[in-house]
Amino acid sequence: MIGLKGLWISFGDNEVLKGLDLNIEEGETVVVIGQSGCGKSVLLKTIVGLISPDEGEVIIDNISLKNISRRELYEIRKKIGMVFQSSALFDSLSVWENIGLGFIEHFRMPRKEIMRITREKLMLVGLPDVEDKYPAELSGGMKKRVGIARAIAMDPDFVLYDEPTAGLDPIIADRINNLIIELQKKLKITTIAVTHDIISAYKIADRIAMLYDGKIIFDGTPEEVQSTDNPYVQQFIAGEGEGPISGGI
Amino acid sequence: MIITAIKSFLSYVGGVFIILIEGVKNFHRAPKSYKLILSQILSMGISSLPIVILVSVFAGMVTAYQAVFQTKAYVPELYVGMGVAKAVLIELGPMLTGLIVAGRVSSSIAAELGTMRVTEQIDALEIMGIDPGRYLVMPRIFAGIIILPVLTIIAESIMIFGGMLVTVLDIDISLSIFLRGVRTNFVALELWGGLIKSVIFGFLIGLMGCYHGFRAKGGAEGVGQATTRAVVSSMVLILISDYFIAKWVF
Repeated sequence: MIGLKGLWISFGDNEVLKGLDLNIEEGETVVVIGQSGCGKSVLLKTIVGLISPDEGEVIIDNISLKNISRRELYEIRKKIGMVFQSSALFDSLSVWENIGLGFIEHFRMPRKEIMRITREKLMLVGLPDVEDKYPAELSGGMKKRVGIARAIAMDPDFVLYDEPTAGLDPIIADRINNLIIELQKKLKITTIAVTHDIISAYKIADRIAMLYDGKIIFDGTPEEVQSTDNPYVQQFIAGEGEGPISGGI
Repeated sequence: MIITAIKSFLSYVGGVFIILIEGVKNFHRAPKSYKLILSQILSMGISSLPIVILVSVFAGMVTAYQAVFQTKAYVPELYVGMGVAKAVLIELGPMLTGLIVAGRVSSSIAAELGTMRVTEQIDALEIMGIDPGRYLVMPRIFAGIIILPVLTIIAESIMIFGGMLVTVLDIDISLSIFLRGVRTNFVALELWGGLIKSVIFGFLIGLMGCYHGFRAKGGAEGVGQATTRAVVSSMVLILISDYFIAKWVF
């Protein structure tokens, strides 16, 4: 379980999160939606301890990230996989080294065993025979799949997706959505995704939470999102320029 | 204005200190990370060697030529070799090699780490539970400390060889006189002092490359700025530290 309690985060004068509360139960898929720049990626980085909140705390499996040592934080991170918006694959490493890096660094496993696990994970994401390629040789969708394979390589309890469909055409985006659902079902992973792609949110979410002005202003099932009379949510899902949501360009 | 400058200076020193700690505290893990270190040593050494050789030949030649030109009226020929050897071992070898490698390697470290920073690859390492201090910083600083003295020894040998070529072929001083001059009044401290300098220069080059790479932000422009800053700061620190090491050692 992941609990976010009263998170406040600011960068200089810019207050990004203002007392955000959110709970994610084991095995569920929660999608956080919101405008570009509203703090969705900051929220994910806070969950994994890359950003420390000014106030509030993140609790993962009953362990608060507040005041824990770096070593303890690294141990907790081994339970988490993250898929970055830009995939963030290591350019200088091949696909199998990208996926197997955790095994190389933490367990010093033999190459043969790492290759076996790598192939298994690549099969899971539907991308066989690319283990010797380098990230520069892959398309956007393939990079995203390798990013997902890397995130699930060490059998994490939680997988975080930062804009999983950003920059992909609708067909590839839908395949990535299907893959996220399939992995969640097969591996029983607790999933948190942040996106402004409402189609993707409807498809993969058990629950959708909307982030606005540093807080979660709505939390409900995809059906509840579609039937809500909350004007902020209505404006966002309808994609209308005029409405109560201000800011942006 | 002054307060902002002081804050910015303190933030710079603090940031460098943090990267320094990140690297040095992982030095004891060097044996386990030998593959990472070896790959950095090879990359730094191989990429710098051609330019080090080229510059060293000409630096040695001009040193010998100037030594003869400045002293031929009142100093015996024997002292040409001695002058070249001392200038090369004490100052020219470590300093020129340090500056060349600063330009070649510090920039490449900052560009690589800066790109990793802005494309979230360093965040990805952190999330995989891999300490960037051990995986990225320590191998680069360690490799700098090892490769700089090696390159310096190569550069010094080539500089003396270049000096010998000019003296023998162009100035008509015999080879035996030049070599006798090189051995005359040789003091081991001069060789060791130069190598101590090169160890510290290698450390500074790795440190500045890592610091500016880690601080890169924004995108291509941010990486470009980080690269420039890494080169300038490592060159400035090499010149400043050279003075203090010279005072301490000699």
